[in-house]
Amino acid sequence: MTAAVRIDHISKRYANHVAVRDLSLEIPAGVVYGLLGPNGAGKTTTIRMILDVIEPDTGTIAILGAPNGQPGIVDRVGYLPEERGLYRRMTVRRVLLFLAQLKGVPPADAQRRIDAWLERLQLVTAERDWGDARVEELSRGMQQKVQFIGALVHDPEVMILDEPFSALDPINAQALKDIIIELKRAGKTVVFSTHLMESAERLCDAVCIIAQGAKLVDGTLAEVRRAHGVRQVALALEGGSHNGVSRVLQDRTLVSRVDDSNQVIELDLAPSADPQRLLRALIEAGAVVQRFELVQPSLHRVFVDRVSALGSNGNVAGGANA
Amino acid sequence: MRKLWIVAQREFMERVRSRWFIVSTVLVPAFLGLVIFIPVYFVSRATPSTDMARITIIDASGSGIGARLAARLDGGVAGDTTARYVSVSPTAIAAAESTATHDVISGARKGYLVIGPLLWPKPQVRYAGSNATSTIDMSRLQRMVHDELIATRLRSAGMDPHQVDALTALDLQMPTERLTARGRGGSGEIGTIVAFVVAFMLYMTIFFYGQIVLRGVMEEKQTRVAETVVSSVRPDTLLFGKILGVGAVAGAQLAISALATVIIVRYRGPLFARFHIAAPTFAMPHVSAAMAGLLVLYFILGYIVYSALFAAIGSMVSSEQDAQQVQMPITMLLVITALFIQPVMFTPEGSLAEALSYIPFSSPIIMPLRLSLIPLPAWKVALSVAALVAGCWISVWIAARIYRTGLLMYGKRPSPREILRWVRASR
Repeated sequence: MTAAVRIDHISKRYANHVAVRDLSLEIPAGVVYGLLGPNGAGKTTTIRMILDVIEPDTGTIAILGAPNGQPGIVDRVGYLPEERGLYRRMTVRRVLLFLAQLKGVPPADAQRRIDAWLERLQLVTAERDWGDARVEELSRGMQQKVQFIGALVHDPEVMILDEPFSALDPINAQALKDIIIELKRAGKTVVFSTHLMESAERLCDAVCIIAQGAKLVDGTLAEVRRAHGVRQVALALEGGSHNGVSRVLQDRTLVSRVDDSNQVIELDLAPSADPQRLLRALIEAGAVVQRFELVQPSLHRVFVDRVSALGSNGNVAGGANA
Repeated sequence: MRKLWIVAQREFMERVRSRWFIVSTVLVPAFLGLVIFIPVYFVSRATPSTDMARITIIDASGSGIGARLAARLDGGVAGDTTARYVSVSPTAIAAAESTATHDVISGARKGYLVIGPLLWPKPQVRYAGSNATSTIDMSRLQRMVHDELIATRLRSAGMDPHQVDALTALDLQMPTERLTARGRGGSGEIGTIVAFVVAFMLYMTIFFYGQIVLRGVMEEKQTRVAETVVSSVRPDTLLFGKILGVGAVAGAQLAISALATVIIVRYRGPLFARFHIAAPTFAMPHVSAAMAGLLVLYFILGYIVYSALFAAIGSMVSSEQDAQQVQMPITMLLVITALFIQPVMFTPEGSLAEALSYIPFSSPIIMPLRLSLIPLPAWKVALSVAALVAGCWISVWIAARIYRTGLLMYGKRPSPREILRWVRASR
């Protein structure tokens, strides 16, 4: 199967810093893909290179099997930028028609789709048809909806969203999530960048973590977690942890790290420790165990570990360790 | 190409739909109409000037010339104003002058004319008054004095007074007409005015629409809509589409203005008759098809040179204050060219005019001006157009490179060195 997006050894250097260094990725068709990284990791630069807005210094990018510079190929991609904005003085319908036409949708066809979307996102209601209002008359939330429609109206095969959940109100965030799931069900590919691990964890089939312009790890969510090599236990105790329990948790042959979040205690098992032995030790220490569950490390955890390890090393020599 | 058309179309439609377009398109011809109408209206109402009759004539020549001048000046519009004639001895001039000065200051009189004792060989005639800066009044007065002096000399040479009157009663009307290699070119004076108006309109239009391009680019950058649009079209396409679309708006507006002007000028007879005044009888200069074509060509190319640079500036800056500062060099190029309009008008064949015709920043305004004043050899026109086309190409090339980087760059205004790097860099 052809990859939706294939990135081959791209680099982009600016005057005083390297934005992306030797990045290779393959985003399979039909998945929800998360491009994760801290601020300034090179996510937006990568996305702009995918969309052929800027050109990589080296390397190539293919979308749906064709070079991304090929005429018409970006018409099959939808894009929701992080910095969102529309022509303020145009009416909603005209803006959307303009965006649809730029993507090659015939006007009559575009009108029909725009009306369907406006209705679906409640911009056309019994009281008011916001489609004929100027963009500047709309609330921020409504403008965001218009922006979604603009990115979707040409029914793209690949949808790229840059930090889609930032600055969204909960209602719109839910609407966007529903749209993403729907696109996936329809066989489309959705790529989004984020630094919010929770939304990535809930939505993504596969992810790539990048930092300082280089890839740290990529693969399916399960692969990434497994590759992290840490076994975790989620623990809940009635009455909280007392002295005896604390002593067990401080035993470094059993537990290498404790993250007490009050309701749940997350433990990293020591490399060779047996979880059964830990459970037994806890019960012997008098703990009333409500929950003892072997869990995969959260994406958040993988992310924090990987990115902070990078910071302490101060370089990205080991970037391609996936 | 299809996307270029869509971008240009949006640009055109949104602007033509807007209120300011309708207002400015109606206002400009209306203003032009008034500019033609008002002076004619007042001239037709205000002859002879009442100011001219309300003067004191102090005549020390003893020849009676003062009395005859007073008789010619008398009347005014309603016939209720008269020139006051005072005949004095040469020694009493100073006293009469101080009385007359007093009258002028108190507002009773407009001014006074002093005719010295000697009319031969060099007559001494002076005028002082509150209307001394009125060139029309002064030239009329001077002509009258001149005529009367000649008549007086003829009389003193022994000519029969009746004969003198008959000979000096001369109402000269001298229409001027411009001759070119192609034949008659209409009134000379009108030709100059039209040339000036053309040059000034070009300057205004290029400046105005260049600013619109700049604002348009800034708006796309500031609202971040550019982020969305450049994911569908190349930045170059967006840039050219904008220049094309705004240019079409400018073209539409100019066409409407030109049409309105032609209609007003052609039908000025019946139009003015409604206000019971005679239409001015000037002949409009003949504009050949080739000349009109050249005008349009110079406008298009000049607009492209400047609007591309203005677009580049719009893409560099993130705030209004920055825009004001950064566009100064470009604005100065235009303003300096406008300052050269007058010198070139007076010496259209001079070396200054010649040099300015080959500089792409000035030729779009200076060449149409010269072309409507004097015939120029074809090779000079061709050279000027070629230089302008090259200028266009360079300006667009540089602008496109700045634009595609600047459009997605936010924050601090880039330094000249960074701009240079953008120009050199690939995408």
